[in-house]
Amino acid sequence: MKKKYWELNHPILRIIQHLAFWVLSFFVFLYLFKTGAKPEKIDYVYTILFQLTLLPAVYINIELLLPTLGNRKRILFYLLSLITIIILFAWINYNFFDNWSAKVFPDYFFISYFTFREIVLFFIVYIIITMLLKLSKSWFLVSWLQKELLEKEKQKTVVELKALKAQINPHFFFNTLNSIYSMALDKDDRLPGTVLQLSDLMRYFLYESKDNFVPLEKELAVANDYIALQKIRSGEQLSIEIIKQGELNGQKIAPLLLITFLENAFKHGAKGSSGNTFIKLDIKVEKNKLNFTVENNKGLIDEVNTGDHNGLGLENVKRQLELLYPGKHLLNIKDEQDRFVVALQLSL
Amino acid sequence: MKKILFFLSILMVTISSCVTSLQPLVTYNSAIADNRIEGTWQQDGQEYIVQNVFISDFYKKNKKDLEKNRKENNGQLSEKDKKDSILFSRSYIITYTKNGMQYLLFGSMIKLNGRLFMNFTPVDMISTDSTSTITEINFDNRLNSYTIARVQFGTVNTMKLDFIDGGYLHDQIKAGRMKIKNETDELYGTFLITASTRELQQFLEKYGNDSRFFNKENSVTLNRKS
Repeated sequence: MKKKYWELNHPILRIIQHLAFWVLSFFVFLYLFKTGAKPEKIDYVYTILFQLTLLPAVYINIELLLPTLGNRKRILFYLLSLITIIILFAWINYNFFDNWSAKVFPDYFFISYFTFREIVLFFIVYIIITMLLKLSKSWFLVSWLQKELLEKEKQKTVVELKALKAQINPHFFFNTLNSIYSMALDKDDRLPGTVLQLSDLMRYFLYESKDNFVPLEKELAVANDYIALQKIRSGEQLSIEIIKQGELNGQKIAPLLLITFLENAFKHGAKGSSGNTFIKLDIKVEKNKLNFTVENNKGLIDEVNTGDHNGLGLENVKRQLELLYPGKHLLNIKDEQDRFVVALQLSL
Repeated sequence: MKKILFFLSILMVTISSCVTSLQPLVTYNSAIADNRIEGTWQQDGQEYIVQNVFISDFYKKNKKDLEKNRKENNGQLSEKDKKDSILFSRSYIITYTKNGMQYLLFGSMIKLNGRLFMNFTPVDMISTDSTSTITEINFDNRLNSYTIARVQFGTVNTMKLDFIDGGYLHDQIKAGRMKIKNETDELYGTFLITASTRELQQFLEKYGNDSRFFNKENSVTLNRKS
């Protein structure tokens, strides 16, 4: 960034750019003003002097008038000042060549070869050219800054996503380990298998979820493991209904997105309810679309109200959706008296 | 170029080292009349008759053609004729005879920065020698060129014509110290100023009193005869 800034704004470079412009302009004028087949000494003198009257008008405009008056509020003052500057220096140009030059350069004979109106036109053209150059340079600078800003935003998004994932994982593991702890206390025979399933989940969370996107197939398999884990924990009281439609065909999805909704359903419903507990899962996969609905009954004592991380998982996933699926997702959450429904529509 | 050289050769009969311009210094809208110039002038025994164009013999001789043109135009003056008419009313025919030839010059005056200038252009050459094979050279179908002089009226019936020093002018152009449009003929060593009327006027407004452009060798003082 510093290098680019140097390239665009270093004083030496600016001087070189300005010199290059005036040297180029000098040769254009020289060949425009010459009277014979090739430029003579007088043509060089005349062209230099002509440019010298243009210089102050151009620099007063781009260095003083534009920065101070070049905005909508002061546009009238700006235009008036600009017209004054143009007329003043065109008048100086005209009179210099027509009168004063005989005293300053007594051995050179020239007149003003252009009418006052033509000189004013010269000045207007030069003011416009230099203004456009100045504005285009500013445009390049702004465009570069915007690009830099976008890059920073992107970096910020990556960092934010990492932070969100870091928040989801401990949250999930904290809840699962609590379940395993309960199973250990109950000396449940299913504990070794459960630990193994947890181990698989951890592998997925720790290693495979580092990418922004993973195969949808993998995410659904992990969701199955997660449900199985929770089913063991909840026992016979929990009724789980899963409807799957569509064909998996290499679609990809942000990792842990579906798990977070499942985790939320189990927290609200399964744990906290006292009878008639259910979770309904509807997964519909199309070519580039995923419809995911999870519905659960609400418990009398909701687990999420008891901890320090109330609703953290859902908030995280909402932010994750904004970052990874901007304009490509539709999240509808219904929080009714006895049930909770989350419907997610995702363009893959 | 042949035409230009032809004019130059004629002018150089009377004035040496003069400057010739392709464009006139004076146009119909800038010409001024000054009656002081009318009359007969002489210098070293040479007589010059100056008459307003409309009362000159030259005009009387060509009046028929002008009226014919007018009739062809339904009695109306064309734009060019109108402009010519204005210019003629403020211009003069200078007649002089030398070496058996009568020369007729057309002269118009302009005031620039308080000074009077006149541009001359040849209009006719008539042989006064009855044995000569050339009786008249008319300039109607020729490209005009102009010689410029500063005019100063003296207090006692004198008129001084200061012709621009062509040698000095040419030297300045060659040295790259003067910026004025010109064409130089290296073969004959002559040059022609091709600057516009406006540029010529501006040059003389600025340098019309610069002694470097006017010297004694290019000055003629005429005394009024009548």
